[in-house]
Amino acid sequence: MEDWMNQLDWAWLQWLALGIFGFGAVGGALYLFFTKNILYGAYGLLTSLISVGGLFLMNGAEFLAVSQIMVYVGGILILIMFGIMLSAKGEKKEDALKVVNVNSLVSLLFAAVMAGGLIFYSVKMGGSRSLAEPSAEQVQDLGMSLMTTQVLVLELVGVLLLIVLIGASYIAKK
Amino acid sequence: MENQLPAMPDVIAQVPLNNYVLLASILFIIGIAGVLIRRNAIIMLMSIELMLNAVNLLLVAFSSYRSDPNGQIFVFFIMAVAAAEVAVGLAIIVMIYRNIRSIDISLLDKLRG
Repeated sequence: MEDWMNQLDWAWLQWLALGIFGFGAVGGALYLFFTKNILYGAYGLLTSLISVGGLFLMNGAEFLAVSQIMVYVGGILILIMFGIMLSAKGEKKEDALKVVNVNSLVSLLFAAVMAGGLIFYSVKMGGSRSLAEPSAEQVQDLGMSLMTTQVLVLELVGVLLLIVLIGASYIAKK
Repeated sequence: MENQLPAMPDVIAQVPLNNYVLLASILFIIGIAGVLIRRNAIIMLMSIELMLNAVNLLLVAFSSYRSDPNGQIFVFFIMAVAAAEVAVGLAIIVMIYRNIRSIDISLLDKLRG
């Protein structure tokens, strides 16, 4: 009875997942780029960040997917929304959240040249398959590596976060 | 019922790598264009987050491709530094807003020669 499940070709599933998450990531980013309202732009960034978290999951990085959602969506985005609330008050009520664009021609030209170069090289790279078999102890490997070979960097990042915590509250207090 | 379905990562991990490179390139380019064109400080900060995320995606994809957890450690550190950057950046933005009642970057031209 379960034989038909083995007969099916499950390859479409990866393309479906890649399509959903890729569309979410690029769509949210484009919405952030084109919107006139900062708050809606933050929602676009939210969509993009969650989709990138899903792509992490597709690559077998479960720990990073969860930290992506906790750090970015739960921390950074909330911080940005508080920043918007604290600074969104213009001369008139309605232009508080408006955004001005400048230098569109030169910047778009620069971005287009860079996009052309990057896309040219990534197409030239060819469709190499992902060969790695996902190991079951990936989180364990990550933890061992963080606590042995990378422990100095881990401590430095901890000290950096502490300094930033003190400095940011000092700057914003005055 | 065991071993009926292929394990989820086995199915998923066969997407060719160049799709991820293409996706990360597109996200990075949108972030660059956002930083260059928009003049609102918070939008520029969010575009920088977008660029950092594109690089993170690329690191995770290559780490999974090489079956090497070191790429994921880089992503972990990038996330921590990004959180620090946003905290300081938003504190500075709030201070700028208190001083000139606006967060339009083009108003900050006092040092122009």
